[in-house]
Amino acid sequence: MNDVRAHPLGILPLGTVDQQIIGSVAEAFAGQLGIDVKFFSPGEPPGYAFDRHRIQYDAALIIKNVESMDFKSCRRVVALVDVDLFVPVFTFVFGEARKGGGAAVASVFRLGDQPERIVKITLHEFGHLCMLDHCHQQGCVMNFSSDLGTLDKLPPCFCRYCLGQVKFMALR
Amino acid sequence: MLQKISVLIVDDELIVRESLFHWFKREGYAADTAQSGEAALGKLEQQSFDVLFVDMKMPGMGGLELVRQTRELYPDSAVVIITAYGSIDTAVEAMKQGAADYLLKPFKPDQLSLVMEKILHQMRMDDECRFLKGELDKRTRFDNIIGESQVMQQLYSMITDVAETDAPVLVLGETGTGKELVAKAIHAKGLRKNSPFVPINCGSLPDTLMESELFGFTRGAFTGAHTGRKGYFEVVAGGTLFLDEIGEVSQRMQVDLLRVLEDKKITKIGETTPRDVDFRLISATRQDLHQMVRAGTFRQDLFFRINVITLEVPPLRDRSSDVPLLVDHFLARYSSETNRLVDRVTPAAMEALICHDWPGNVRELENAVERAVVLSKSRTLTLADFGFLFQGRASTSTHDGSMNTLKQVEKEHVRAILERTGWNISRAAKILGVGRTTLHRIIQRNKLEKP
Repeated sequence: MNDVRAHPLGILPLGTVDQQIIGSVAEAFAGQLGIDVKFFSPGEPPGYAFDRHRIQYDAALIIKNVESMDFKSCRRVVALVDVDLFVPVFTFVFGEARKGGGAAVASVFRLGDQPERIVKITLHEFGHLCMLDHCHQQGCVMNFSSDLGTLDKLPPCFCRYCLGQVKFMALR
Repeated sequence: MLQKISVLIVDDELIVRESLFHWFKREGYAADTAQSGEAALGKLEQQSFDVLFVDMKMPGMGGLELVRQTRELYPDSAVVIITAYGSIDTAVEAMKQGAADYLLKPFKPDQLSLVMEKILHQMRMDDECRFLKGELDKRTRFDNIIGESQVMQQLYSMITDVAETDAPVLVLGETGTGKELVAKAIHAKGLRKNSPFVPINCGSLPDTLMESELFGFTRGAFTGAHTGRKGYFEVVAGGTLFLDEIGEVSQRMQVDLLRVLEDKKITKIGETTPRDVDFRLISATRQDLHQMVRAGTFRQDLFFRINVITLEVPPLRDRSSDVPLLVDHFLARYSSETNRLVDRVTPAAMEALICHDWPGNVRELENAVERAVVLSKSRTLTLADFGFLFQGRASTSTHDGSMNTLKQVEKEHVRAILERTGWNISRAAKILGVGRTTLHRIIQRNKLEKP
């Protein structure tokens, strides 16, 4: 467990994110993976990523910005935002991460008042940071969900194959 | 393990390439990117991709041109167009060119999933179709002989009939037509299929060597015969003896052969007692044995003995409709043997191969495909890869150098093309570069008649 404490997952709220949501995320990571999540003080809303034409925020720019920050012992950081995210080819995304990267972003903007949804998105993006691809096993949070209907059908947990991979990567 | 579906993303904008690249990677596809149409074609030359996602607007080669070239050179790759509002017309044009689908930027993530699902469904259907076609292809093959033309169907039918008998067969045909394959097929389908098939090329053996090879010898029969050896007549023991190039056999050997065929007995060199032999004889030649008999260079009695049944293997120019089948077969073989991914021939090159004279027949075609595969720098063989075949060819219509009038040349050339295409007016018109109506007029004018 010492290793885990040496490399916790960092959660960085950017702008206003409900404390209840942050609490739910922390519970999920501790319960699922036995990981202690480190919370950083909320940062400024990501105004730099705003796109005037699309009236949305560019997820890639936020990730780039977060990756440039120094989080000391945190190898992986998920930024939580309350703005509408996009990547150039898609109309919107719930979250975005580079496979095997150091930072991801998840948004509560389209999720309504249901903390379980952001928990699933955060777990999903964290999975990508741990080198996971989308999973096609039923009942795995690493399934690709393109809308809330699909997202709601997913459980807030990994299948055993993905869980093994995440634990291996996270506890290394 | 199932092979990953490979996707190539072609877009000049890095951010778009990256977004799609990461999405496909996360979905478990093998993804790659190219920043221009030219770069995409370069990658396609080296490896195959199942699906291409192509942006319509790119500097240099545009998406439309890339769709056109991909459909022509790599029709197995599906192309999906990515376009923005305002360029719908070009997307429609791209669909007409054969694009599988299009996506309007930006699109919902589930639209991309749906497009991929649709393409994967189509790919499964194509695979199934290919498998069934493969099953069907087996019917176009007869033993190891490839061809589905009418002349070949007749040949297969004769092989089947002939195989059931034990009569000597003479296989006639130009060099490279596959006479030995026909002989093997007769053996494989005949009563002696479980006994050996022994081929001997009479043209390659000097007279004295041929005698010892065919009849065998005992120890001490001649200088250097330290041990005795069985001859092919004995080795064949109940099987089929195939004497290729029988027209090359010397007069003296012809006498010996005749005796063996009549008595079914041989006497080994160095022995005095004859021993029984049992074999079926299949001979082959590219020479005109009738002419040789008349000229006195081939014994008439031997000719009658070996010529109980005659099979004629047609030259490739008489079955040019089989050329695509043969090209595909040799392409698959040499692509696999040389470990080079070459899996296509452009329609123009195929047309040229179909129209070629092939004086060396299937063997020449096989060598041409092998050479083209070995020297090819890309996956697709073009007309340029077969350039060596057409060097020094001035005309395909007249070979005798006689001083014909233009009308005569026209008539002969049109007749030759019509015969080659089996009087398929559309194909002949295409080859001749005239319309169907014009061709009908030429046929009437020259009083050409379908045989």
